[in-house]
Parts: sequence; structure tokens; C-alpha cells
Amino acid sequence: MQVFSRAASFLNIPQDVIPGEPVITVTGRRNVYIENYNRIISFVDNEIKLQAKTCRVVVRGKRLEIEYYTGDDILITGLIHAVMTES
Amino acid sequence: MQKIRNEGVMALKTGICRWAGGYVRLCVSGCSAERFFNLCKSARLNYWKVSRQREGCYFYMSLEDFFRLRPLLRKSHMSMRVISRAGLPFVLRQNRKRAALGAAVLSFFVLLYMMSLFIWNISFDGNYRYTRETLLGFLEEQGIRYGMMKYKISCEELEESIRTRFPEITWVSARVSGTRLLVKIKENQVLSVIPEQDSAPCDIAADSPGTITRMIVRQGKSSVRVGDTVEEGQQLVSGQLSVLNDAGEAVRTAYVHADADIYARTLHEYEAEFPQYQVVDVKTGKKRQGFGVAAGSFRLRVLLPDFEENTWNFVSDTTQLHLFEDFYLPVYVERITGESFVSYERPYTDEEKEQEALKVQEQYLKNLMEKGVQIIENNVKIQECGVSWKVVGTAVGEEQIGVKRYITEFEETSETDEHN
Repeated sequence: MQVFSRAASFLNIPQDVIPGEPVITVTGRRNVYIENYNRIISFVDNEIKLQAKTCRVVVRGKRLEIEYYTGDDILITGLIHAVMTES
Repeated sequence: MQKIRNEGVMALKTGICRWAGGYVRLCVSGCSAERFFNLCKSARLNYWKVSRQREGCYFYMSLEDFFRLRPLLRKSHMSMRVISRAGLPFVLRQNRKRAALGAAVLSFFVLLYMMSLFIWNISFDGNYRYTRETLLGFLEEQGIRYGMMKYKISCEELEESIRTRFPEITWVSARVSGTRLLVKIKENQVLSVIPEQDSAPCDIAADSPGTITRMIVRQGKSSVRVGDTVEEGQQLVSGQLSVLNDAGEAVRTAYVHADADIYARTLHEYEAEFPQYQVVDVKTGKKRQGFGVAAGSFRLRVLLPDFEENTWNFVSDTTQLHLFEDFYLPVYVERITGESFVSYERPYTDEEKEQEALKVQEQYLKNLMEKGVQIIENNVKIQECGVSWKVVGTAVGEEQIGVKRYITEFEETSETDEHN
């Protein structure tokens, strides 16, 4: 993966085209849209933890809900406090 | 903005698809909800609006996927209960005993579809020279009529035939929109045929008596002067010219097309009669409302009953029903308003007599002005004439009085030999 990342950096290619990197889009405090996730690690009212290929994505907030998901992306709604990544 | 609109349309489509296929709200409880959802994802099951509560995880799932859920629940050691059901399959199941209702709804849509196959409204736009009736009559000749099937209309052929039949129409656009045939027309603003110049020898004669006020003679020899009083048929300009030799003798006669503008002061007399008594309708203040429906030859009118047998004057306002802008139906709805009145005869008052006389005068003067007469003065009197009133009026005006009178008999002229 490091090789892909370095190659992309060298060739001035955007990082989001590197296969497997999660793409996180936050809209205000209401929506978090995450692409390229693998599975749900934990799901509680105030925290949703997702496993992506390269890292874990943690969404913290209040009254969190999974609005929908497709094979590769997921939309989380609720009052978002923080979006973090963990290795 | 476009992106938001696209997302809105997508959300609407998704909502409709979900409702059409049916969906359930479920609650799963157990200690490994995450595993259950990951299994659902792996199995490509469609779920949405997942929320975690004390009793378990609530979410929606399509009916199709719901039946594939049991092995996943067993695998993840979760229990499930159905909270609610929604969508078309459940609506149909609930109403399965109301087949007649379903049949009625279905027949309504079938009828609507069948209606949409015909033309129920023909509209013209941009026609000034040709009336709607003329154009409708032409379409009728071409086999295009109200109530015909849409597919039988060829707009290209129709456009071509309209242009051929009406040469003043320079541009036509015909299109079928919904159940309407829309014909847009542009007419030629200038004359399509250049009038041929008339050069036949003629005189100009007076077509009405009067006193000449001004005259411009372009061709021919004037027979009258400004200030002369002329009679009807009197020659004003002669198209017969004598060609003189150096000695002042007529050597031959030349015939020309006399051309002149001759204005004269003319007197117009008019009279009209109206009876001494007039019929007056007085409204009693009673009104009746009703409505009517007409479809083809079927006509239904509903009015409140009249127990007193009064005389009524009805006015109806008819509207053609249409679902959308271009989806007209062959059904007309009319709103009927009736007003009761009582008729009686009474003589004209002086004021009314004057008004009647004024009406006659205005109508006559309007007709004169349309003919090109410039009104200089007018007088009107009302006289009693047996059982009626007589309006007698005179109007003095200035107008063009010359008309062509073609020369048919030509004088035989003997050429004088100037050398002799």
C-alpha cells in the first residue's frame, strides 16, 4: 500500500484513487458518508466503528443511525461530534 | 443545485421502488448485532435506517430480502421480530376482499389510457385572416376531426396541405401534445399578389352628388372645378384628350386612364323607426344555480327546482375538463346561473328616446366613417309617426366621390397630313 501511496504522490495522482483508502465526506454536523469500508466493528447509539482496508474509522456523536449502505459506502446520520481514524 | 435535484429524484425513485416491492421494519436483538449487519452486507441484503436502542437494533428491510434473513440470524445468534409492514404487497393483501374497488381503480386507469389515444382538443394560434371555423372546416375536409385517433394524424402532411390551401399562410407548425392538436400559424403580412396596374381608358364620374372641395388630377382632363356642385353620374375627369397641332386644331383624340383624387362635401340623410312602447325585463332578484355535464351526445343538467314558475334567463359557462395542460378529455362541465325576470311594456321616456336616437345616429355615422367619410356636421330629430317614433338625421361629410367609367366607344379620328 505504501508503494501505491508513494507512486500516487510522485505522479501527482489524488490519494483517493489508491485502492482501498477510505473516503470520508462530512456534511455539517448531520451526515458522514464513508466509501471503501469493509465491515462494522461496533455500533452503539453514540459511536460507530468501521473497518476499512488501511485503517479504522470511528464516528462519535449522539443518536447515530445508519441511513443506508451499499456494498462499498455507508451514510451515517445523527449529531456528529467527531470522526477519527485509528490504525 | 443540479446535484441536489438529481439526489432528490434518486431518493424519490428509491422510495417508490421500495414501496412497490414492500418493506418491513424489524428489531433484532442479541449480543452480536455488528456481525449480523456484516453478514447482511456480505449477502448483499438491502437494509436502511438502522438505529440502536435499548431493546435492540431497529431497521427497515425490503420484503424480498426479509425472506433470506433467517440463516443469517441463526448464524449470528440473533432474534428478530417484525415491528411494522408497509408497501404495495401489504396494501393488496389487506384489500383482497375489495376486488370491485380494485377493478374500478384499474378500469379508471384503462379508460384514461384509452382516452389519451384520441384527439379531444384542436387549437389554432396566430390566425388573423382565417377564422377558427374556416381552419376547422379545412381540417374536416382533410379527415382530421375532434375525437379521431392520434396516430392517424401526420403533422408533416397537415402542415403541407395547410400551406398549399392557404397561400397567405407562410409558416405552419402542427404537433400533437397529449390529447391536443396544436397548430401554430404565421400569416403573410403583405399582399401575396401584386395587383396589375389598370391602364384601360376611362373617365372618372361622381358616384354621389356633392360640392367639390378639393381635387388632384394625375392623368386626364378635369371637367369640373373646386366649388362646383355635381350630380351623381356627372363626369369629373375625362380620359379623352384632344391632341392639337401648331395651329390649335385637333388632329386626333388620345384615350388615357384618368386618375384623380376628388373630394366633395356630401349630404347623407337617414331615418329609423322604433315603437312607442318598449319591452322591459326587470330582474326579480331570484337566482338559480346549477351545473351540467356533457360527454358526446350525453348531456345532464341539474338545476334547483322552480316552484313559482317564473321566467328565467340562463347563462352557462362551459369548460372542457383536462387533467394536465395538454391532457384534455371529451367531457364538458357547465356552470349554469339563472336569473328570474318579469317583462312588461311601457312607453319610452324623453331621455330614453334621445338615447335611442343617439344610438341610431352613432351607428349610421360609424358606417359612414368606415366607408371613409369624414363627418363635418350632423343633426338628428325625433318625430312621432303613428304608433312609432321616427329618427330623422342628416350628416354632412367630406368623401372621395370619383369612380371609374370605362370608355367603350372610341371616336374614329382622321389623321391630318401636316405636310399638306
